[in-house]
Amino acid sequence: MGGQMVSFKGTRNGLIIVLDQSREFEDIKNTLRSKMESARGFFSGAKFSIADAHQEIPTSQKDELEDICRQYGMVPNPDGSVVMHSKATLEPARTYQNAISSPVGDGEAALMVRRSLRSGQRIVYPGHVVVLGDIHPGAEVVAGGNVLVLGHCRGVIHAGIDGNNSAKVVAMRLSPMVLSIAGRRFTPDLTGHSAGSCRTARLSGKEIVFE
Amino acid sequence: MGEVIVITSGKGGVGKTTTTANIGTGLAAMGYKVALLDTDIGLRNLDVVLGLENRIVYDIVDVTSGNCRLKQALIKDKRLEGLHLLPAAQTKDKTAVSPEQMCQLCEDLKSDFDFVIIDCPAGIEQGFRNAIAGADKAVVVTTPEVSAVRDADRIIGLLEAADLREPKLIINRIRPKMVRQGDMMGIEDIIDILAVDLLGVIPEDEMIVITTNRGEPVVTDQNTRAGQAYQNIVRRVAGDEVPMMNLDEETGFFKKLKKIIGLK
Repeated sequence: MGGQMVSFKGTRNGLIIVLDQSREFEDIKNTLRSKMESARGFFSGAKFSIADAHQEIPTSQKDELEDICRQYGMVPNPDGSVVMHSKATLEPARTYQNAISSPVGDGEAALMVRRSLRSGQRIVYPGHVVVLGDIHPGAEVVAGGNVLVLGHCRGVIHAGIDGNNSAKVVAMRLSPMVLSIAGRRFTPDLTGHSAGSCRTARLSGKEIVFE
Repeated sequence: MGEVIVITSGKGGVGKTTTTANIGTGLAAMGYKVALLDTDIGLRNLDVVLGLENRIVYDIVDVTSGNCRLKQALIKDKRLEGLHLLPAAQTKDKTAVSPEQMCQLCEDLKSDFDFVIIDCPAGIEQGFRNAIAGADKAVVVTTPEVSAVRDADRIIGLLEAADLREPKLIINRIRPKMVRQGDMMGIEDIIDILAVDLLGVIPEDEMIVITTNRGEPVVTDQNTRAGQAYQNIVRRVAGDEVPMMNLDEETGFFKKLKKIIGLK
């Protein structure tokens, strides 16, 4: 390891700053700062991402390091840190989006709920959720992907919680108490039953549309 | 071997205790040997509704903690030979009894009685868990209000999780006129939400208040609408009638009622 507490690697997607996290974070920070100092603006304007070959970097530490780099005029790579990481650490939302957009395939795994959900019952799942029954008022489904209800949906539905904008909620009868897609929240008018005849809810821009 | 039925609702004030008293009294009037079990420790009412409060010597906690024998604590009803009450303790709380003790108590009662009817406290905590621990069947009472139906739904979920499958529903205090005018949830609306079998419907009746205060369950008075409704439920519990036919009978009753109101 020697002096390679912080090393720079150039790639097509810009610089990757590789850390050795077996060292103290303070040391890493100081080393990064001194390297930046000695480069005298050489890195200014360069795209960068921070990575560790072996383990995840805590978000708070990563933010601190990114701040240092920004002070020297570097630009964080929008693709983030995934470059150096193994596939397992890919964000779930990215996986789903890729899978959803693929025109053909073996289909996707989903959580099958083979019963109705009653008030107070809650299903939380990072992928798609299929409910073979009703979702009663007061029941809740929180899904990373789509929510498909083969029954009457009257509960609380959160689809695409990881920011998956293309997530949809489909139900035989859709009159949810609260519905959100990718954090966009829709609270139907309690007196109106207009949503009852709708069967699909999706995100169009920033609005949830029923069709 | 008898059958243990728990009467529960989640929400308070919907008529669990009244229903327990009436089903128990009705079954005893049919000649069955019935034990009523009040599990609402700390807030006992069943003795009052039955008019037996002055006869209490021992209570459920005395039995489970071994202060007395089960036979000593059971109070005989003043009117009906086959009706017995095991009252709740008033000076203790719900933690004075454990679900295991309740299971044992229900087993003991089952061997002596045809029906053991448990009056469950409101809520979903220890009192509820105690009440359902030894039950074979469950009856859920609700009123035609959104809050009561929501709580009933929660309770049905908890009952199913505790392996008390297919609970039966009693809709209490329904006002056919208000339903007709669209101001109150109807039977179909409630069944649609809860998706369980209907055991019976009790119309709103002032006689309930009068008979409850008197300590004489309304089921004994066949001239009242609520009394007739409870009598029908009792016969269904006893297995006298096919449930679906009874449902038709109920709607028939309301159809007739609506006709009378409509003619006015």
